[in-house]
Amino acid sequence: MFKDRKKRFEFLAEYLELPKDLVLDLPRITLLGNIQLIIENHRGIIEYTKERIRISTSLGELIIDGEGLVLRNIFPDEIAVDGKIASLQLME
Amino acid sequence: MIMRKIWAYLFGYLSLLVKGPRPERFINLAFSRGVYLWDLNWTSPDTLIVKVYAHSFRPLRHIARQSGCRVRIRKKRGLPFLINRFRRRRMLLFGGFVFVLLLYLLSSFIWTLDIEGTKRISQDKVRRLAAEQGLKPGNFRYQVDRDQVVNHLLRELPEISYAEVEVGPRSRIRIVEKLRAPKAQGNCHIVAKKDGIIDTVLALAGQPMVKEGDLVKKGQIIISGAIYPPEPEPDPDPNNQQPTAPQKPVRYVQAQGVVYARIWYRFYGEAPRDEVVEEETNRTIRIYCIRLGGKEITIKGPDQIPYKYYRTKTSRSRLPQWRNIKVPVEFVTIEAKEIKRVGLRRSFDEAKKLAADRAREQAVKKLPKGAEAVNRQYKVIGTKDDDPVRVLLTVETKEEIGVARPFQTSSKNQDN
Repeated sequence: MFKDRKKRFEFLAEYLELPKDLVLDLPRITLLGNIQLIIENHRGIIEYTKERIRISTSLGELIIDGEGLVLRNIFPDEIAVDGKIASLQLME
Repeated sequence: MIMRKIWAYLFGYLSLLVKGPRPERFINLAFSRGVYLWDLNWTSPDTLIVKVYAHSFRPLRHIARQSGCRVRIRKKRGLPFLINRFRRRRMLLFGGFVFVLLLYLLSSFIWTLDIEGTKRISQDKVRRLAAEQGLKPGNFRYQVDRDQVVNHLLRELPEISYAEVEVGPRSRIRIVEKLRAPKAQGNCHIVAKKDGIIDTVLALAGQPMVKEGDLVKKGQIIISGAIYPPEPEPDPDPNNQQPTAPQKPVRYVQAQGVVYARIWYRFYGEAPRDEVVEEETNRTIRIYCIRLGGKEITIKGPDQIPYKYYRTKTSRSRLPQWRNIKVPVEFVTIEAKEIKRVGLRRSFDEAKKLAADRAREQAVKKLPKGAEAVNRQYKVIGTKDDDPVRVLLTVETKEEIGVARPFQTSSKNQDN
């Protein structure tokens, strides 16, 4: 039906009302105001300083800029970042 | 989140300082090997603080070697480390244990016994009865059965209606004495307590002697305890008229009843038209000092109050007195409020209102208890130009004025 494998899965997820992040292997990024960011389904940390955190995901690189960034938790599937978050970028 | 902290405390965790060229590699390696890190924070551009469970420190050293980072332990936190410390300092633990044991032991004795609620019964008697059941200072409190003490007290003291016993280091006995039945008064009249105009008379026993609207004097009989036979019908024959002889009372009772009368009270209030009033300026100063014996030492605040006119409030607090030892140290706080004097000119209406208020204050203070004000009337005495303005307040009240007054029956004397 769909040539593209990704498209097929997306259709399936839509049709069966499955959570897309699980089916499509996408990171789920939850931002709470500008003080907390939770990234589920990540692939590791590339850079970590107080002002910038770069996290590898299936989409590419997620760049968080801010002040006083702290990694609250690191699990194999979840990262929680606290601090004053100024910007978020996705670099494919 | 809080659960995680509790777990971390129970398992014990370490706060580590990680130094190295590439700490990101250290972090990635750690979580990919299942080592849980949290609260990562940079202290300086090249040192990272990491928290980690104590049991995962060993794999972490391996990871550190791989990533080329140096790891140093900054703090050890949690229950396992605490236990470890106590293992090394056995005596400290032992001391704590002895303390708890001693506290428990001492609190299982009865130290004091308070007795409340005794009025006619002597406290010593209650104390003695309680001691018979073991409730006395110095005894072991688990030997005392509360219910037994209560039953013993109720059995031995017929003049109490209720007893409550608390057994503890500080034991307490609470007693409620029986109310004594009012004494039979014998024959009596209800007489007026003060002058007034009768509003209602409700005779429950006895013969009412006055009607509503009658003026009564203090001491006048309102409900008589002596009951007279009904007056004979006047003889229709005018020739047959005899001077009616004073009749003898048929019987005597203890008069009972409720008597309400209207009573007037007058109150007076005045207010000058011109007055110098003291007003607070909202400037205050506090002086704190310690009183040692008879000497005062100022801790904070000026030595002298820097205002011309002021009002002071002094509060003293001292250490709680224990036994007969009085600590002669007092902490004194003096609060001085500056006031200024302001000349005030009142209009006639203002002065009248103030005078009326003062009269009403008087009324509130001086009206007897139980008197219900029915009517109030304010009247200005004198003319408008008078200074001060004087106001007379007349309060009409309704109050109970009946009091019982016993009397001796003179029937015997009459009979003999």
